[in-house]
Amino acid sequence: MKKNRFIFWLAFAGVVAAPFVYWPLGVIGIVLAAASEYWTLSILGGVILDVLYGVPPANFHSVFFPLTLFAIVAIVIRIASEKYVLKRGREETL
Amino acid sequence: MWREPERSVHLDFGVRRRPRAVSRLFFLLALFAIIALVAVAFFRQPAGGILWRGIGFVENNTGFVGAAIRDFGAQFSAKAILAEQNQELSRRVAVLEARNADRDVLYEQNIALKKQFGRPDASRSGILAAVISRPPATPYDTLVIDTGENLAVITGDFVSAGGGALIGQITDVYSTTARVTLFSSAGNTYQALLRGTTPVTVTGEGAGALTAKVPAGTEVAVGDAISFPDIAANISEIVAAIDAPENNSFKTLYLRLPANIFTLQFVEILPSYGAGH
Repeated sequence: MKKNRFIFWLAFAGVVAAPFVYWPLGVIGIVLAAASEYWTLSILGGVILDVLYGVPPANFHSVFFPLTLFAIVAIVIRIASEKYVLKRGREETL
Repeated sequence: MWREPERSVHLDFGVRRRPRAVSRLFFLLALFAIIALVAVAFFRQPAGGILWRGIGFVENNTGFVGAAIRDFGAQFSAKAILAEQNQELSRRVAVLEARNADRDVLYEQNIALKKQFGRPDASRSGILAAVISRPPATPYDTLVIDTGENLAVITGDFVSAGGGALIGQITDVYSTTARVTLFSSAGNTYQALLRGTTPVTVTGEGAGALTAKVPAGTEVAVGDAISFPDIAANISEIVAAIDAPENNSFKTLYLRLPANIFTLQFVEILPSYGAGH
């Protein structure tokens, strides 16, 4: 998925709508932003939603910033997939 | 004059250079994330308060942002299904009204008797709070309410859906808002009493559901109340279903909170409830 204005606004809308409507929209927004290489939106979205939603209780309490961590993981996966999957042409796979 | 044609031969043999841009990006990303997390960790509480005040302002003054999107889906519900739901709900209201007819009288009588025997704290008046945000807009089974430090709300205060129907506890307090973590929050466990006598460990499962295990010989029925050991009458869960397999030494109780967390409009904060604080 390449950079695309429409996807940027879709991801942004997901992050903004999440605290009003349905919190998984925020997660979808973070993933979309990471997949389209909008790293800043992905991480900022994660941080803002983490501040809003607070620290998770019980088992995941020690994670402290779960959505920010999720955004970072999504970005790392995106970069890794770019390096090893998406841009791997035939000339490199003899 | 003959000249050898210029040729560019690209021999890679699988040796790939590490793209510098990617490592620089990784470094910048990691640095940015660390700085941001440290900054946010320090200012998380006030920042959360400011953000929720903003969201509360939008919800209170417009009221349509979430509702408009939520109601959009309702347009696709079939008319017949809605009519059927309406009839079912009307029947349920009638049954509950009949059941609750004597509840207020008994409750008043209960408090009067406790006062007569020297327990004036048997009834507690709470602080009314409006719910700004509720599941599914918030994760981890939490509510955000519109009272906070301004009305002396403190962490650990119990929250009821009305009267003695306890649903959770205050876990974060901001200047004008507070966060309530419901008992059903996934992974939370606490001790309570089944039918006011049998101790049980209740575990939250999320979305207003909880579970508990009791020995196979324990007398329990659907509709039984789970409560906290306290002088004031309270209900924290209701038994919704029982799974009692044969040849098993335990029964699994499936519980639900005494109120629908997805439609809560108001809650009551009980400042001095319990002995924990």
